[in-house]
Amino acid sequence: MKAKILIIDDEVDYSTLLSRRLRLDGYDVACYDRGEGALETIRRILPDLILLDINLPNISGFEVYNRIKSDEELKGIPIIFLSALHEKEEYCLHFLKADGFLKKPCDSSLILRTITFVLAPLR
Amino acid sequence: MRLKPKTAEVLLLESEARYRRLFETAQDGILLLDAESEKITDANQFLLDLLGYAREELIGKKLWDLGFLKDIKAAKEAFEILQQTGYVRYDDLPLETKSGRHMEVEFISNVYLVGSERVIQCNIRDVSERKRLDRLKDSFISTVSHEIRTPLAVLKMGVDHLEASCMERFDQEESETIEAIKRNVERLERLIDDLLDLSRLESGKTGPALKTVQIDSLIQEVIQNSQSKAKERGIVLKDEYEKDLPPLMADPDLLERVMSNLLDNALRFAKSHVTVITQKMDNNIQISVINDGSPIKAEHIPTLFNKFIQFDRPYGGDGYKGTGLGLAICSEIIKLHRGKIWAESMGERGVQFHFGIPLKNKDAL
Repeated sequence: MKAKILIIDDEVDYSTLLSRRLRLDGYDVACYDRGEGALETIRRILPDLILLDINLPNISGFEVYNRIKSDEELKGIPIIFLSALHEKEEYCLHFLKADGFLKKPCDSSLILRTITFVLAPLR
Repeated sequence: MRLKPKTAEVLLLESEARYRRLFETAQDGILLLDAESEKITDANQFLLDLLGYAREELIGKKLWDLGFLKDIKAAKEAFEILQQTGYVRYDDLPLETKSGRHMEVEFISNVYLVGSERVIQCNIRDVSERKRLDRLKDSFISTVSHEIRTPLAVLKMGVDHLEASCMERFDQEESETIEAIKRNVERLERLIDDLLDLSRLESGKTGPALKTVQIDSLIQEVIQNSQSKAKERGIVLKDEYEKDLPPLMADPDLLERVMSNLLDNALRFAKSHVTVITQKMDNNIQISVINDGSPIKAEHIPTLFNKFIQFDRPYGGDGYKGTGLGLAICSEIIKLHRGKIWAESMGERGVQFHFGIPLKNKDAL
């Protein structure tokens, strides 16, 4: 079965193009553009992996991350940060223990490799 | 009527008046102290205005009795260094005015003899505004860079998607268009990364993370990584090392950056050969990157390490556009290591870049 990926990013142009690229590689992709209501969306879609932006209006990607990780039902879903704030890499990987950090702009080949790598142990 | 020659006394008075006027009208704060008693003997008007004290409040007091020095312990240590070496300089010393306003000053102090008395002169310049503007510039560059990265990410993803989905349907011109967009998106990415790196290096926010570095292994690794690029361009890339090079204290990541920037440049402009020579010269490790390629005019050499400097070279470069920041970044990194970097034009025989890092770096940094 195709893995389901949820992109949470307020840059709709970006998430649209990224979702098209991921679909070419066979993924089932959904997009959401806010921090508010993200948890409900995740609960509804139940993705295998989340690509999460940091700079979201009102509720930041960090807050969304923490909410997912403190939710018993959702905390097992791997999360890869995808952000233009390159200096947050260490914080995301070492402090938040996120599953990955990708720096925008990023080659889609690197995004695809990272997704495969993160999903591999779960398959 | 003949003018009488001036007496020594008159000359002395005139000279005294000249220097007094210089002292009083200087646009830097000047403080004079007696080196033995460490008490203030005079202060100019600019300093009084800067700190908000009256002259009588300062004269006869010791520096640390007045409360404008924020770090008394450091000030006493600095004073001791000054007494021993005769000179001390701080780029940003925190001070507080009488009314409690904080400021950062450049503080230069030296000791000299007047007759048999040792006098300490402190020159104090308010650099708060300069520092504020520097911080503003850094935050501006950082914000702008992030704001540019976001639309750039959209462009890159768009091109990636087109390439993956319909490249085989494109004719040659269309493929070339896609390639040109890709190249220029990457160029913008490099430019932003370089700008941010340079601004970080210049602000001193990220000092070098010093470790013991075996320079020959570090260079061998960079060269190894560049061999495929050299082969692609039909260039012979060689390295030569002096035997038993001592280790040095340096930031390996930053040195690697310098090496790859210099090698990238050399490979872009070389005709057929690039040689890297590593040797000990006096108390430095000197590394030379030599290419036999496109000459640089002698008049361009002094400005090579400035920002956004790019020249028309007679040939070479493969149409690749640099960011114009690579050598400025190298220069900042070498400065952080208290080293030197320079270039020599060999005319039609090519160009040599050299940098030297002091071996006794531990104490210097």
